[in-house]
Amino acid sequence: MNYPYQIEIPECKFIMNVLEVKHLTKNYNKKEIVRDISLGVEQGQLLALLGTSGCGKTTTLRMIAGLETPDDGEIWIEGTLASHGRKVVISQKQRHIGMVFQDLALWPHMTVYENIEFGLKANGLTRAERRKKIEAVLHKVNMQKYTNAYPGKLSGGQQQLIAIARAIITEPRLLLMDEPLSSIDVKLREDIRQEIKRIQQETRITTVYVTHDQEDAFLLADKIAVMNNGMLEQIGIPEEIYSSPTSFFVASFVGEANIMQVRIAGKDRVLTPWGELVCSTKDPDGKNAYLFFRPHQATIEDGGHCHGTIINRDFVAGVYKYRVSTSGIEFKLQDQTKHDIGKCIKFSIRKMDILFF
Amino acid sequence: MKFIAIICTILFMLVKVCHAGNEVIVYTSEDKIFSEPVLQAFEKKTGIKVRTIYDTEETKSAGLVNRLIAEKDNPQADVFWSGDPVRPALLEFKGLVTPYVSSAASDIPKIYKDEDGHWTGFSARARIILYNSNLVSMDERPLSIFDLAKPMWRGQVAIANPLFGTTSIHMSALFIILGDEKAMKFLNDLKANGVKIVSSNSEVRRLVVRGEVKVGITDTDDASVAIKEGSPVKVVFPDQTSIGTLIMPNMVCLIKNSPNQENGKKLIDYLISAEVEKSLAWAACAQMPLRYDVRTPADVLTIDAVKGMNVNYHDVAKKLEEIGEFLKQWAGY
Amino acid sequence: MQKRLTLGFFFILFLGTTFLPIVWMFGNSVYEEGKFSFVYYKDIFLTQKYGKVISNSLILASLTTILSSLFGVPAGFFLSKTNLPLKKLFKICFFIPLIIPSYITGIAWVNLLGKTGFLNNVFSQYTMLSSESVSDFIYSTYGASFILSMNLFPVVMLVTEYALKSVNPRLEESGLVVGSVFQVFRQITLPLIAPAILSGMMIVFVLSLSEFGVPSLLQVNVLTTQIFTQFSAFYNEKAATAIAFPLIVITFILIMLEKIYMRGKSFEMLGRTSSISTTQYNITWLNVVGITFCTFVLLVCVIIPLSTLIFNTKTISAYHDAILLARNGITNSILFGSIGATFLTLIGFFLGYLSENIRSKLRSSIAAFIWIFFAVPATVSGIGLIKLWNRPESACQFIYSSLWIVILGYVIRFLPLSSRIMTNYLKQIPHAMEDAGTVTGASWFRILGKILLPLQGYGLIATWLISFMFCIGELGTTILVYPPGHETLPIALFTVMANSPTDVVSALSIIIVVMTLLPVGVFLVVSKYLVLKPKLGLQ
Repeated sequence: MNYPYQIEIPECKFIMNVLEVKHLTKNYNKKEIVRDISLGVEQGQLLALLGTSGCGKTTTLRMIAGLETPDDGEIWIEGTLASHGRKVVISQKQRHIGMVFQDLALWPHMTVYENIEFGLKANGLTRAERRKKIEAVLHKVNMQKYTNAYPGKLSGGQQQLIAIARAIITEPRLLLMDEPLSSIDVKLREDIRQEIKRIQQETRITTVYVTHDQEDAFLLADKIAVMNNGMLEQIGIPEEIYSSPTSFFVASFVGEANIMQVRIAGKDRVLTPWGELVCSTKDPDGKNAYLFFRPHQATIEDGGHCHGTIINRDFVAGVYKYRVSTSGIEFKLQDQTKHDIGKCIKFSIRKMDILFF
Repeated sequence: MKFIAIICTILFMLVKVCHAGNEVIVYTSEDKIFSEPVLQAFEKKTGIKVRTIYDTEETKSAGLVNRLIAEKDNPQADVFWSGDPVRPALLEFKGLVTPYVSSAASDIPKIYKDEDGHWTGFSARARIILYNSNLVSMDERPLSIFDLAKPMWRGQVAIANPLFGTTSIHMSALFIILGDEKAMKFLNDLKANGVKIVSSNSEVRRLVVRGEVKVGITDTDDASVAIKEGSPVKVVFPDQTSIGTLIMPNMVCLIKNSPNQENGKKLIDYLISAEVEKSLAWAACAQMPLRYDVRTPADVLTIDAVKGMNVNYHDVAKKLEEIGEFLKQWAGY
Repeated sequence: MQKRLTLGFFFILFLGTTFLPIVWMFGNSVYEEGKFSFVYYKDIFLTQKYGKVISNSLILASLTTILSSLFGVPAGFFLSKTNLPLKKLFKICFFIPLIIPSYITGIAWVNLLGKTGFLNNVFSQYTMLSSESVSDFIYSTYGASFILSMNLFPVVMLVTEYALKSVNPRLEESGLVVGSVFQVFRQITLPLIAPAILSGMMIVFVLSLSEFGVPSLLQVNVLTTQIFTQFSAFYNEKAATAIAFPLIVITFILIMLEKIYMRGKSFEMLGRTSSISTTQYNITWLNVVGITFCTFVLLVCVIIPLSTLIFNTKTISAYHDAILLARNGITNSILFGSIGATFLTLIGFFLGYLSENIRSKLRSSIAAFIWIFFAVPATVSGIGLIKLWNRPESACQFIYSSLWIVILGYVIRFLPLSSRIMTNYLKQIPHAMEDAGTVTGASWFRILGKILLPLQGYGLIATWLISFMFCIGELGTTILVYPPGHETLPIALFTVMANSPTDVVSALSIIIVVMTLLPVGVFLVVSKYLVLKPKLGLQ
């Protein structure tokens, strides 16, 4: 395979998942850190593992990498079983995986060149071949200038690129990234994110990207897996995750959203704090029905059928964001016009969903 | 793995290979500065390589005797040259010593050697009273160790820990000569009189030299070091008119099942010769020859000038084991 | 696989070198006349006899620990946080007390504070104290802890200094914005470095608990002198080993207390992850206090004992005599010391690594398990080594009659220390450094050689130096096991101490000090280069 920089996607109808994880479970001190996770990543795709810190996403990643041994479940890489229960079938050395660590873990006592070269040496290439490859990968990440610098001398973003270069130099089957942008400041983050996207798309390396930052996930990922409390809440393309969350957690975690418990009053009728509204209810007898709408899906207008009192106002990126209260229930709205705090407003919800969790 | 192998090879090259050739291994608790020249002379004379472990009696021979006992099943030493007359007997009790009657010992007085040849004595030290001549006048000096229990020496006497070294031998000899009851009474009187129990004989010497106490009970070699350094101290050989002074010869014994028995015997023959007695008399330790006919420097007394305590060292060693608990309590340990 | 084999190998090495001889001794001590018997332990635990002794030991160790922290923590603070003039000089000089054998310092102080001593006269003339009371003080448990703490305070100092350097400066700066230097130190810095200081105090506590020289000189009745009595007056190694047992129990309790204290505390804050700089205070009054304090410590702990030694040597010829006496000892000490330190560092590294990287539950137990052996008295270890290695088989004889038995002695005595120091250094390196190597598929040996060891450069050198210093000073075990012709410097000093002229003994002590200081000096010079090299710096 003439990987990495000009890739020929084999024309096959059946697209095999490069990574397939089934029922993965991991305990620490009798606490379940990862519970029954199953997911798959297709060739050349980027899967984002999204979740709050401590939700088990890094542990999942480390198990895929082979740095931790799972307690249960299976990991398949390119159709071969890598680990099964507590049994490691393919050791992490043979898994042929590249990884970028959260704090990058560049070796401070080696130059950029030596850092990248380290992983190549095991492959039995000649010195000249290694040099050629390293130069190519440094060119890829636009870091040729810093070949002989020590990591300590580089900026956070530059270190980031070196860490990526180090991870992809061995042409891994799978690239794992653990919160690579968390230590970089916001301004730079955007650039590096674009770089990551460019590199990933050019090399078409199958990637699992762990992040707690939704923006990262939505901008980079082909597919997003949302994790909470060690469990997989939802997996799907970004649009799906955004518009039709399947759990309360995903609904509230992803993007800005208003969720409130409502009662089903009958077919396509729900009882809300503003009285009965008409809305399609897929399951008229379902319990735990929630009204779900995003702030931009509501409009403040005099003829609105809902009402509330403004209790807070922020001006962000050209839009006024409001916190509005209706008989003790708070929710978020946004508008181009400025309204005073304490004012009673009317608004209408243009699009809403009733979700059952 | 390679680099571990390399390191190992290098380290092995550092090992001094010990030739098991014509050699003799001696453990000695006589001070190194005195024993080394003697052993070197033996080496020169016979061509037998002497390999030595030194310790010092001052610090109670702790290392050597424990080492000898621990090595019992596979002895390393051929000869034990003890600076005091009791440890060889102790080793005999523990079955570590093999008898050897040396022809060179024929002119050594009987009481200084074992009949069966388990141990043989030579060059002796004595247990003396050391006093600070700045603080004590010639007339006041104590002539007997029993004087030290008198009120005039209250809080002014130092003695080394009686559990160890020559002090323990001294105690044991006193118990034999006086009988248990009297000896205990004397010791308790001493204690009531505020005797200072210190760690070692050289510590006794240091206290007397510095005038922290007026008198102390110690050994001749400590006294002679102090005198040579020009300290204001003088020596009394106590109880010359009564029980006598305790004489403590060096003793040498052959270790059972040791690797170089023959060379060990040769070394013993040499050590108890008049030649060695003479050289030790003329060395800084100024030890008394046990033979009457060895010439000594003017300041070293010959054995006939001192009335020795009439004790058998075998008994002393035995008694020592009995009174250990009492001494331990007496010393407050 | 490589990793497991290597770690297993070194753990077995630890078991073979340290664990086995000591366990052998304890096993032996409950085995009397062919059957199990706790006769020697009954005395200790069921009678009142040893209550006083144990409490004396505890008082001695606690006082020493407190006093050496009082010296060591401020000294460490001033040396790392202020710009004192002559800082380097202070640093080197403060190593000296650790090197001078404690009984030598002891004699120097006894001479000064004894009834006719110079300082005693000064005190009794100018203060209310009587000559008697000063002399009584020095010959007591308190006097012994005073002398010991002067010998051991550099341990606390070194630990404090290192911990202070590792504190993330942002944490202090954020405090300095609103509070005074004193307040920041007390409320921010001190709590942050408290675990490290405690760890140093623990070392001092155990060292003073197992110290023999000073208590014996001052006739203080503690466990170690009791052990000695059993060994040398009664030649009863079983009883002696039994008395060593409370030492181990005390250490064990200490470890438990430390564990309870450390529970839920993290070292994360200390990690040098964000910067390698240190907040430096450049305040005049602080410098004045610092220089006064350091000079005082220098005077009490270094100049006084050292000048007594120098004063006693009087003539140059004494040095000549001393060198003649110790010639063999000098080369042996350097050779054995370096080999010993190398082994201690190497095994210490792997043991430290093992106890840091093993599954979380066992982690602290392994470290504690290793640490317990530090409390075993030198004599017990020595006899244990003889019993284990003095066998007719030629392999055993090869070891027993060569320098290796001395090296084994060093390892058995100081492996717990070196692995503890190494563990602390290993804590500073994030695990991701190794993981990053692992995922490339490199073999563990390559990761070890290219990443783990180079990253530990400073820690390895420091561990080596400390081990070297301790090895060069080791007496208790060496004297029991050294083969003929293999005597080291302390043995040379010890065997000539009693009846040699004072000047030669003092000269010999000075030679020991100079010899041990040399590598430290070399290191401090080299460390300049090492500090420059982290152009790298950890990110």
